[in-house]
Amino acid sequence: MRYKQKMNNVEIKMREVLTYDPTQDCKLVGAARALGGIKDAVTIVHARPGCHCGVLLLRALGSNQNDIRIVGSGFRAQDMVYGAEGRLAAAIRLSYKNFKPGLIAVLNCSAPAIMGDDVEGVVRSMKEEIPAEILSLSTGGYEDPAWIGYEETLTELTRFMDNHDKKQRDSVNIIGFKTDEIKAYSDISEIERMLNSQGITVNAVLTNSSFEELKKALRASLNIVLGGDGLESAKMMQDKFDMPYVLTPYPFGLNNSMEFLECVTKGLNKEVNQEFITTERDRIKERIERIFLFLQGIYDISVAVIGDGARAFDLAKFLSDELCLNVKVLAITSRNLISQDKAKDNGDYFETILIEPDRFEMNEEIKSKGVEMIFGSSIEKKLAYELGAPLVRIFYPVLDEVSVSDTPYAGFKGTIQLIENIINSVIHNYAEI
Amino acid sequence: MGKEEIMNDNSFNYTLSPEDFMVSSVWSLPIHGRAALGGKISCATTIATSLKNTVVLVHGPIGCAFQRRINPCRGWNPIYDMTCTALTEAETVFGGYDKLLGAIEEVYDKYKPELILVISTDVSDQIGDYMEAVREESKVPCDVVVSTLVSCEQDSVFTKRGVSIVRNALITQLLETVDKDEIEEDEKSLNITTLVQFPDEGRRYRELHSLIRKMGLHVNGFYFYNNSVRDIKSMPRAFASVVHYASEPWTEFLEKKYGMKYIELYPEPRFSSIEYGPYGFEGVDRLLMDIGKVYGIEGEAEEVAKRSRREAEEALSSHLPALKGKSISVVGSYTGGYAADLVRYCGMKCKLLVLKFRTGTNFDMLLNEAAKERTAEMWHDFFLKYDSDPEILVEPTLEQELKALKRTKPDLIVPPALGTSAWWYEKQGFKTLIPNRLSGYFFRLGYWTVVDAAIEARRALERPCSSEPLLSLLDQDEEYGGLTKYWANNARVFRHVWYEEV
Repeated sequence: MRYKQKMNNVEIKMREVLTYDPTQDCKLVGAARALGGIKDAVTIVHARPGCHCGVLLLRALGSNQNDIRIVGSGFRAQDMVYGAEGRLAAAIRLSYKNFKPGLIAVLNCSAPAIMGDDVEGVVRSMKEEIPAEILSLSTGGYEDPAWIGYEETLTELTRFMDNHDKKQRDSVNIIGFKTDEIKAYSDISEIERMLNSQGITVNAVLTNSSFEELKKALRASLNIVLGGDGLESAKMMQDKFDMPYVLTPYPFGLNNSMEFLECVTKGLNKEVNQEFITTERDRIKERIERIFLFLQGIYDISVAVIGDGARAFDLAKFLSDELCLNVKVLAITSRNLISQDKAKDNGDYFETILIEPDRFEMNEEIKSKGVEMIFGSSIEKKLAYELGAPLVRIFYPVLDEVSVSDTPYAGFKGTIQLIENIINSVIHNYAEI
Repeated sequence: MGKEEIMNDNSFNYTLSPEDFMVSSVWSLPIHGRAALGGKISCATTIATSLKNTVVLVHGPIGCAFQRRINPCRGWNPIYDMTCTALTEAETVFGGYDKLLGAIEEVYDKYKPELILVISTDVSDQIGDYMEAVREESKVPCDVVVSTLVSCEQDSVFTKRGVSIVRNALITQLLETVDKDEIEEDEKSLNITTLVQFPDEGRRYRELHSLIRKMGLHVNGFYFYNNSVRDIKSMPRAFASVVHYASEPWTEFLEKKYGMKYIELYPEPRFSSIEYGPYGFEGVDRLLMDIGKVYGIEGEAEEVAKRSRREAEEALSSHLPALKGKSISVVGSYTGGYAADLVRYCGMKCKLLVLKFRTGTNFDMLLNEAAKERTAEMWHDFFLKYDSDPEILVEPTLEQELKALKRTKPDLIVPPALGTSAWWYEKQGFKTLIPNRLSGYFFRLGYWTVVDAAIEARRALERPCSSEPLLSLLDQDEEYGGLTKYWANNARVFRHVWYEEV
């Protein structure tokens, strides 16, 4: 048996041996995703061109064709012998010249990492010449999965934070936000609107801020860690700068949105503005009344949720507790530091949980459970097609759907949008693929 | 496409499908050598998507498998089953051979494929695993093909490109144990090689398929398009193959082992004129005559060529009154394509030639200054031959190009297949052929490509043209026309670090 099985009524499955068809990407992509949200940063992928192209495509196909700041270092076959430090230095110079960034981040990938390019040395030698901060991270594909790259990058960013700024009351940083998720920009607007309703302002978003804003992150009085992603950096800021943090759910649905606000206001020693919540709740009620027959129609259908640890638990909870769908399988494609605890502690809203499964085995499991609807990424298109099930694209990467309208999935407004998309996915299923 | 339809339908216009529009969206991303390179491994995995019952096993870290799911040619449509050996740091030191061996068994147990296609990555190439040995040592009841030195490099030499490396591995390894005596040869049968860049090769090769049948031959198989292992092992049944380049090792292999003849689409000397290649009426005539010569049926080939060309010319003639004598501005680089067809077959006159090498593919980027000058000369010679003597601009800025357009006032702009900013020309008040609609031109073979080029030119001349498309809200880069600021900055950095001496 390759899996551990345990816990009360819930089946937890984790692969003990090698995963051959992984559901997660490598460290490089985790780092690049974190850096992609720094509005004036350039990421240099010091690697063979395929790695650069892969990262760039993931971003460009995810509705970010206007904001590509990912360059390659032009690492060629002959550089495997002689090294590509000269190319890297040129790439740093050219990146500065063309983009005038606040931060240049060099990601040292598999090929140069194995052959031992002195990336740190190049970065040090360029610091006098280039009037921007330069950092380097080791992101060999063989080193670790994407979520580790994400955590390490956010933690590295704390090194640049200035502790001399005066604290601002009721000001927060949001940690764990990724600009390349579907609906990312409308989600962050909705989250900010919710916080503003409580008299709370957003100081910096890790990452959806300029480098200068990130450097001033310590002005905030509280860090919000969304779904657990970036927890390591929050802990670092707590240890180093005495900055408190709260762990919140990703605000999918009404309950998670309320819990989100409760966690944050509690962390700031504030009372929740109940009037705002009542208004939002009434708004949701009015919208649900318009389509309640459809919601009744999909009541208790069997679904699978396939996504990252920071958001999939919270979506599953919303689907189970609020829409009363039957979450047969919750597959965590890429975990974070709290995913395993969540899997053990909150088992009443899913039947089986798979943590970073082999994709083939995950698909088999889902096929065996009579799943009628899938919440996943573009990679689940074939599985959905085979099952004849609607696919709601909600997790990274979404490459076959664009998202540029101001229609969030997060928060109170997002609750309505999610319901609309879920029902429409069922109605439109005949044309899904 | 059923047999009857192929036999009876005389027209071969290409009807665009929604997937074609997706293709042109993804192809217009400035990758493919402009701001990034997918590398050989992308081509290699693309080939694998056109094989039946095949699982790709990438010998590399998880990221190599995950990112290679995203196909640069069909970005919206991931490659779903992409297994890997998930190499870790330990294997970069001690080697990953055992892991590869184990992975092959595991992959077989799970997927029960006919073929496991093992593709190397930079990491496995770099650590030097002797990957070929797994073909002997793995004890799985299916075929195992190993394609090494795939990596992420990109070469200008076709035989070293990913598509060729994997095709070579597949054909030579699967046919290694198939002796000539075991094959029932079919002297009227022909193989056709494809580039597997676009979906539905069958639809794109519909006309060529029909032409071959009319010559009394039949197609043994398209390589590759939805092939099983058995299909590949049946390749030697054919008497000859239509190949892109005869220097590909698999072509030489089939010739030596089975005596198979070949018809080369791009023979030496290459790109010696704008009319080079199997395009336009003459190009297809040449191709059919070459096939006829190999099979000793020159008479039949000539007859089919004449008849089929006449049918296409008749179809073309209904569009000529709308095109003849109209002036065009051709924006392009080293290939003639549909722009050349409009001049040589439709009587359109070129007033302005704008050569842009910066925003083309990596082939354009690899041209040195002498080659660019030669390209300009070839275009000039071509236009003189067809009674045009256009002004020629090489790598102009947008401002320079606009000034020249206003001076020459062409009736129609004909942009290149990858330059999709037709809106920019239309905003300036110039009617423009929409290149997306002909993006598959170079991936089809037949007379009707000319008819389709004429239809699109006529469509562009006759359709209302908006001077205020929303797309014109975008700012184009002055140096890299067709790209926005971010992409142009990426392209500038990429061009320098990749193509220039660092």
